[in-house]
Amino acid sequence: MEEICVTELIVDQLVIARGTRRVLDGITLRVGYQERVAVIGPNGAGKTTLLRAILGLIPVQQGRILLDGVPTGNLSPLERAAKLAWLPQQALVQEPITALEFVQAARYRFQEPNQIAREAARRALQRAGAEPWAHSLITRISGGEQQRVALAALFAQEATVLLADEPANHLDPAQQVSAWTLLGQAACAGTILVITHDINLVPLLGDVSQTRIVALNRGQLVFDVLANEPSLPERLRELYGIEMLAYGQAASRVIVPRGPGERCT
Amino acid sequence: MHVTGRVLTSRWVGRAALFAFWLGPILGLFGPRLSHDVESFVFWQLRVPRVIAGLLIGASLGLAGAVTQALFRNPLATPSTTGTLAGATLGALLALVFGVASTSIGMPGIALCAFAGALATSAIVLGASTSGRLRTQDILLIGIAVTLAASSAATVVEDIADAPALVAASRWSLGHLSQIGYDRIRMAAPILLSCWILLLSQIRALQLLVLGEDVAHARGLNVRRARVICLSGCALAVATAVAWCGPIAFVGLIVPAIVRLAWGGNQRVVLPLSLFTGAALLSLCDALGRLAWSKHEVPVGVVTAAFGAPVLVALIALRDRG
Repeated sequence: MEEICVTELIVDQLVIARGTRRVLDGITLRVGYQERVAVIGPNGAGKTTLLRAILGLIPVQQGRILLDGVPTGNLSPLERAAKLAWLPQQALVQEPITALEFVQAARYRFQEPNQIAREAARRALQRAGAEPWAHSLITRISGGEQQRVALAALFAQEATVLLADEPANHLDPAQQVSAWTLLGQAACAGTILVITHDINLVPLLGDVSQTRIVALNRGQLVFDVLANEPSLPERLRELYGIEMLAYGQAASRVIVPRGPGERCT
Repeated sequence: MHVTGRVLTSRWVGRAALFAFWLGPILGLFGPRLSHDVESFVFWQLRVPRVIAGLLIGASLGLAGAVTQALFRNPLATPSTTGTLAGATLGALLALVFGVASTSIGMPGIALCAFAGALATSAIVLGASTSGRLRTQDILLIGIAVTLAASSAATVVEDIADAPALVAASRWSLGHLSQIGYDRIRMAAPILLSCWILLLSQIRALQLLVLGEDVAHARGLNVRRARVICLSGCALAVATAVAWCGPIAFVGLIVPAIVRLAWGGNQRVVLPLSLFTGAALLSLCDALGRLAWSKHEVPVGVVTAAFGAPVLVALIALRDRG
């Protein structure tokens, strides 16, 4: 079945070690063309490390990372940027630059005149609903507005695989929904790998029967299931080691953690 | 509304200052009245080359400062924190103490030694920057370590130096533009101009680097290559400038800061404008130092600090007021 679609991203027996500790310990993952994958797992499970390894930001001890069959290490920086775009957990910028300039910088891989880059950046801002702040300094807009601008930069790079690291972190519920909806729209055109702690936002990416949930724990891949998998609450319980309650069915299913129920009196 | 008001104040005062600096090169051509034949010599052989030198060196220091600040994402990073100036000072001091200051191999020994010293310390920092394992912030720390080491070495050399050498060294370290003639300009100009071209070619790279090196990497920049190009361009430009006129460090710190306050942080604007503003500011400070006090010339390095610091502080105060 995997032979039918073009395989975009293959992570094969990946090992990343920091000192003697194996942060990633033999991860194997295939992400096909236009596939949506949510990566979950406890803090320190290796989610961000996986993303950074795919981007070539940290050296790989063992294993391979292939993009369309080519090891990522063999790609030139510009070729890599054409395939992979990254939304970091927090793109903090202290520089007093405008949102438009910020997004335009994401067009680095295109050898194009300034005017065309500007136009493309403006379109990306429009797509992310961040147009009103195009000429505001990004140091002076709110967290939610900054995240929309960061999403616009992600789109402006026009890469085929989008890697997003907790795209709705620190955002209010309305902004969380809009950020994930935007990512879902982007997923129509390309592949998307998104790290999250909030399993209930995953349906916003698109059809749950075609969205995968990949769980990491202590550097290993624990499970890889579809988002509508009935046993998901059970598996999350094992993954996080706490009680999980599920309400509803399929796309409208909501899974919430439950506390031990003890209160001080 | 409040926010806009404050930004505008700082912006417009900053912009007005940038234009006012351009009085410098004009002012540099004036001086006390002299008899006609002397006047012509003084004008063409002293004042004009001095203004040209001020423009060239100021531009180089301003541009190098802007590039260094963008590269390290740190408004305090200057050629003096990457070891270049400390190396030049050590080289000049060695030249004076060991009596090679007067030897001339096309250029005076003190300039030659300052140039060599600046390149030597920069080479250490540059060598570190070629390592893929080191982060850009690590390179800044190495630069500071090299600066401290070179300064300690300079202290040792000062300790064994005799009084005349010390006086000469302290005079050199104040910075001056008075000794630069056409021959020296001809020697320095090609080096400085090629450094400008090299550094200005990195505008797009620096626009990404100010967003952080990981983001820059993910967007397709060869981070290691960009930082080696930027650091070597800065080192060569600053070494050349400093060898001729002494360590006028302050230009590299305040010029990009003023430009950013006045025009924002877009590197496409900051880099060229720092080049022009550095040129204007240094020649203005040199003219002020020469004309302010008829009995004695105030070294340009002193004027730059005395004049530039209040301008910078005033702009920051305007920005944060309210």
